Amino acid sequence: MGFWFSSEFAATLPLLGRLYIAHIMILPTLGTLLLVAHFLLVKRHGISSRPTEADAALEGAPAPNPGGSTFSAHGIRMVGFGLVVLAVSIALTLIWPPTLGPQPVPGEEVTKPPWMFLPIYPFEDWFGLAALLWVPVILFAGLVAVPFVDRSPFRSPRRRRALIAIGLFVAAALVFLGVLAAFTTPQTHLTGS
Amino acid sequence: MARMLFRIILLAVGLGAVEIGLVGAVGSGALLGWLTVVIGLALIVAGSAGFMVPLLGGRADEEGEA
Repeated sequence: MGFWFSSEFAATLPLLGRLYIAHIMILPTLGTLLLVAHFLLVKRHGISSRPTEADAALEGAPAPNPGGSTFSAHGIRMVGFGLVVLAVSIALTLIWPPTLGPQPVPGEEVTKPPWMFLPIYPFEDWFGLAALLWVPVILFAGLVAVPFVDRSPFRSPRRRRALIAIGLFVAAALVFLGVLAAFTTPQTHLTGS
Repeated sequence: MARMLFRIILLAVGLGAVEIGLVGAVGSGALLGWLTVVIGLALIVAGSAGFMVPLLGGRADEEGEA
């Protein structure tokens, strides 16, 4: 599994260069392909109707208007909101320019990751580096399992309380772990010579 | 749909032009850099207008495509 990271994969290209290429070329390409598939599925199936209307239709009410919107109108609205988020992000980076983080210690890794990765950082403290692989795998496997586990025909959150409660619990746990990681002293996970 | 894609292309070109132009404009004050930034900004406004107007309560395009 780690072949891509080994020197046998490409003896002439350092690992840092390989990771850089992965982040600027391979991952964005995969992300774009997933987005294209997502948009094609939305166009194929149509915009979802409102959960309460869809639930009422299951109980004998008239079928809801399919989404009440068109793919183009919905796309325009989504891009509009995306532009607002982009503008706010650019304004924030101008007001509070992001820093490069703490000075690294040569040969030793004692720094904390950026905030978005902080919730999984305590697992690295408790179980070692391997946890950085299996904790996200478990989290995403849980997400993938949701539509297979939750077979309820109803969409409204009020009718799916167990799953909503689990989701809220996971979200609260991630917030708690992130805060915990932010306020605990970083531990050494890698030691070099 | 075609109109939406055209606007997205306008936006992408505009954002790219601003980013490319800013290097010369802010870095060395090059006139060509500032010109690229201005053209880029105009493209951003042109490309984003169709998305922002409906969001702000204006009339959206009446494209019939579902």
